[in-house]
Amino acid sequence: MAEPTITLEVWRYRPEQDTTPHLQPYQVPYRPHWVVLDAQNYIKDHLDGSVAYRWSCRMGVCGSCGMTINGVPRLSCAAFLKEYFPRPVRVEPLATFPVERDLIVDLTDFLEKLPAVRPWIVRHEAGPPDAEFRQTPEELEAYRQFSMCINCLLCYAACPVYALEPRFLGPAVLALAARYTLDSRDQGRADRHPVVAGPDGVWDCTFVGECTTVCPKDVDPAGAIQRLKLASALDWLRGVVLPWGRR
Amino acid sequence: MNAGTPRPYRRPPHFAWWWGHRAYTLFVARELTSIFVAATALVLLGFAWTAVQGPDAYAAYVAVMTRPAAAVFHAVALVAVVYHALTWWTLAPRAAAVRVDGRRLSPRAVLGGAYAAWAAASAVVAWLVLRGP
Amino acid sequence: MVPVPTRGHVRPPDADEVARSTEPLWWLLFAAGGTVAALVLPVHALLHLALALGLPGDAFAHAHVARLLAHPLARVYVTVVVGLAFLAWTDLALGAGGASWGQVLSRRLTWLPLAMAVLAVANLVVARRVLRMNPRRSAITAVAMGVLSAPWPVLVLP
Repeated sequence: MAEPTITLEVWRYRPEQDTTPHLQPYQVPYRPHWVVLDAQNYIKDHLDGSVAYRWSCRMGVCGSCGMTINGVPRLSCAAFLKEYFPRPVRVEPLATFPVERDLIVDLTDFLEKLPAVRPWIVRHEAGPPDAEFRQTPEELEAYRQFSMCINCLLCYAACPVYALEPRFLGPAVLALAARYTLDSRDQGRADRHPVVAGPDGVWDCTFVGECTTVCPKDVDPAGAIQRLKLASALDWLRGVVLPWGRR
Repeated sequence: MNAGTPRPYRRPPHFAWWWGHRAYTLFVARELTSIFVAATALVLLGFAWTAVQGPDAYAAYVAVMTRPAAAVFHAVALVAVVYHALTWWTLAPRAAAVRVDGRRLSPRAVLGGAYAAWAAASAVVAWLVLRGP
Repeated sequence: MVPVPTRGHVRPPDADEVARSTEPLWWLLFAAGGTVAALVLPVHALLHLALALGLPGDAFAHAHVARLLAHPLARVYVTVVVGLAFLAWTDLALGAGGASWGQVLSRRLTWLPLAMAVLAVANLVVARRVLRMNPRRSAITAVAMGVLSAPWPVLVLP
């Protein structure tokens, strides 16, 4: 009795031998509990060891396995084969990033932008604190959602502004800026302001909202960016109406 | 290993970006309704402006605004402006974490409040205009 | 203060550039205009349609409308609603926020209506002066040609 199979069409590009990319089909056994990552590992182990792709935890917490599956940015460890069976599954690299090889994309742009928003607790006193910072559950709740980001960058793949304007800081960077600015322990709102409210910051966002739709951890970067827009606008208004209050 | 690392392959932007994907198409439709928002505002301005100028100007304007082509435009504009309002009420409240008594309001509560305000404003305007001389 | 690492792709703005930037003002106006539009323009569009369909009786008679507008608040209302709604569309179409004119003009939502307007005017001139059509026919032809000859494919092309 032949086991049912499913076709994976994998996007291939090997710079040393390919000038243009192409889709390569593979027949993989269909097991209902498998995810696309399981199918990729099957291909690598049994069919074609040359396929290159990133993965690590295989349970949706490391953010390594982001790719475009049937046109949608997804974690390959979270996309079950049974969502697609019996139709073929097209696996392509994460959109909006340059491709190094097969399904591996170059994330340098994001990694260079992230430090610009100082994604750490900024304190203005010299030296380390004497005691631990205390925080109520309400204060934690104010930023907790934005702290769930696993840097999988599916939001960048979904953002048409980032696709059209590569200088845009992007959803994850701005959501992390919100995470730290909303943290009661942080004093760095003014330090982040020139980057967050500057060119390539929140004002580039046109609130398409797809970043929030594709986020596997419910971070809601679109909401974070709109809140940053309102906060920046009110800061600006305050600066215009009460100029003596400006730091 | 050959000299020099190979450059990453940059895929040309795939656009039709907004045409094949439902979410993007809805986004562009939402943005295009802004044209009808501006147009409806101008039509309203036309009524007010000509009414202030006098009965003849007003009558001429009303004659244009009641033509069949104008009726088609008003129908399309109505759909567009309602779509704008529906998407606006869903999206705009996300700019603020609305808090009442220290507890964050759920999105459905905020949406309910927005719809109530929308209905109230519409009712007031309709009553003021339609109550007749 | 820890210096911000600046490499390659991130442009470090100076604080004055941000303070001078009027983008927050445009955004606040856009937010106000969009909210006002969402609140009252649907009912106004409905009233316009009702008038065109001949439904209400004498609610739109000149005497009644003029008396409505005689109230000072009514004119304020119209000015505020029309002004904010129009500004909201302007901000959306122009995508203000430090965008250069090159960037602005490259946005298709901006120059597609502009192209249509230019083409419509050009067609109007041709229809009136060259083809000697009467004003009403020229206007209809001009608008139709403006819409039809606009470069719609740019909306789907890369």
